[in-house]
Amino acid sequence: MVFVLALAATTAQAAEPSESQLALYKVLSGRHQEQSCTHIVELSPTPTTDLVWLAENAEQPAWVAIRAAECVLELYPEPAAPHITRWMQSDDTLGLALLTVSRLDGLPIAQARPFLEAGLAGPHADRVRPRAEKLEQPELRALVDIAPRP
Amino acid sequence: MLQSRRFAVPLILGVALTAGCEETGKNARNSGTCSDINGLQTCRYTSKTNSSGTMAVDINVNSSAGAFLLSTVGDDGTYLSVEEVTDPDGVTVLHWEDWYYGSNNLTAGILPIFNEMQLNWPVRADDTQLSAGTWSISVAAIDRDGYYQLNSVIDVITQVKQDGTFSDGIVNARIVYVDGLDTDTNVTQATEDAVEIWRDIWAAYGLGLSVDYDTNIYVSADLPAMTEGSADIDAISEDGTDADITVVIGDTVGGAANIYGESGGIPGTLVDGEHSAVAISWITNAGGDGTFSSDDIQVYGETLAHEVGHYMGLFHPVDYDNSYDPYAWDALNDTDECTRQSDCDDALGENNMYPFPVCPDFNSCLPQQTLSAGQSGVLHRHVGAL
Repeated sequence: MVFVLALAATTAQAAEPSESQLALYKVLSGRHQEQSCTHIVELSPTPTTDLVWLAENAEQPAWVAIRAAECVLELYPEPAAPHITRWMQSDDTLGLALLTVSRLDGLPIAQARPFLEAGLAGPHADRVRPRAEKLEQPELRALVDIAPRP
Repeated sequence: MLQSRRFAVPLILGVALTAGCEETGKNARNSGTCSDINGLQTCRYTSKTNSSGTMAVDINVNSSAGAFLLSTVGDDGTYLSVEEVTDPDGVTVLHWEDWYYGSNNLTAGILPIFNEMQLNWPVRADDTQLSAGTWSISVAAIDRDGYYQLNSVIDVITQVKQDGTFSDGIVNARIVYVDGLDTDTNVTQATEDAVEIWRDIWAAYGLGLSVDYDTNIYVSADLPAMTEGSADIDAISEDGTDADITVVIGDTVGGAANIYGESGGIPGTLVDGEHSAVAISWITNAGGDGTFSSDDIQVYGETLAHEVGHYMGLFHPVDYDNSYDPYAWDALNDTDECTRQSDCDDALGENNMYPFPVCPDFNSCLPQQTLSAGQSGVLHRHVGAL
C-alpha cells in the first residue's frame, strides 16, 4: 500500500511542469503561434529537456505537444534523438511520430534515417509508410521499399 | 503617365462597368453571368482598373437584400484592397483610411495582402445596413511598393443574399478530407464529433449548420498556408457550390505543425479560389498521442467554430504583440477593450474568438464557446449565413 501511494505520488509529481516548462506551455498554448522556436526557447534555461517534456506530457490544448515537438525537431534533433526514436516506436505517440515523418526532409540524412527506420518498424508503420513514400529525399523513400510490410 | 502611390493620393473613383446584367430569383439585376442558390445571387465578370489604378464595382440590391459579398481576383503580384464603399445616396460608408491606420480591425478587405480580396457588407450592426439601390465599391490594385496598377485585369464576383433578418440562418459547410484521410476513422469520427460541438456553439446564437462531407484523394495532406493559397485549394473549392464554405482536413498546414488551422480570409469567399477554404491540421488538433480524447474533440469543435468564424468576418477581440501586450482589437463595441493580458483573460477567456485558451491549471483549459451579440451579428451578416 505504501509502495502504491509512493508510486502514485511520484507519477503525479512527474506530470507537474517546472516554472520554465510552464512559461513555454503558456507561449505554445496560443491559438495562433506567432513566435519562432528560436525566440520561444529563450524562455527556458533547459529548452531541450523542457520541450521534450511538454511534447510528452502536455495534453490540453492538443497543439502544445505538437508545437513543442516541432521545436525539438527544428532545433535539437541530435540531443533529443533517443526521445524522437521513442516517439516512432511507442503506441501512445502517433501524433509525434507523424509529425516527425513530416519533418524528415529537413534533417540531415544521417539523422533522419534511424528515425524513419524506427517508424517503419513501429506500431504506426501503416500510417508512417504512405507519408514516407512522399518524402523528397530518395534515400529516405528507398527505406520504405526495403522495410518489411506488416 | 506616372503611377500614383496609394498612401499619398486622394481617392479617384474608377470607371463604371459595362458588362451585361442579369436578374436572378428575387434579386436585383447585376452585372455579369449570374446564378441563384437559395436566394444567394452570384454574378461573375472581368474588368480592369482605370487610369487611376482603381475599379468601381456596382452592386444593385433590392429592399429585401441583407448583405453582399464582393470577391475579386487579380494577377499574381497584384495586391487588391477596398478604397471605399458608397451607399445608393452616394454617402461613403467605409473608407480604407478610417481603418488602415487604427488599432481596430473591421475587415481585411482594406488590407492589400495578396491578389484576392473580399469584402462583406455590412460587417456589423453598427454599419450602414443595405438599402435598395446601387452600392459602389472602389477597388484598388497596387504593387508591393504601394503603387497603383493601371489597366490591371480583375475577376469580379458579386454575391447578394436576400435574407435580411440577422437572428437566424444556416451556414453550409463542406468538409473535405484529402489524401485518403476519409478512410482513417480516428480522424473522421473525431471530426464529426467536433462538428457537433461547433453546431452547439453556433446554435446558441441562432445559427444553424448544414455539413456535407467530401473527399479529394489527389491533394497532399500537407496543406498550404492559407495566406499563400494554392491551385489545390482552388480545385477543392471548385467542387463545391457558390453557397458553401470549404473546410479542408489534412495532416499539416503551411508546412508547420504550429498551425492547427487557418482561414483563407477575414472574411473568406464562397466561390472557388486559391484561398477559398479553412485548412485544418488533424494531427495538431489530436496532440502528441495522435488520438482524440473528449477534451481534444471539445477543443477541436471550438477550433472549427473559431476558424470558420474568421472566415465569416470575425477578428480576435484582442491581439497581442510578441511581448504579450494587447495592441489591436476588433471593431465591435461589446467585446472588451482590455489592455493587460490578465484582464483580457478574465473578460474574454471563454469567448470563442479569443486567441488564447485560458488554462488555469496545466492541461485544464476553460471552454471557449461564447460569442458577444456583436460577434453573432457579424456571422449573421456574412452572405454565407442563409
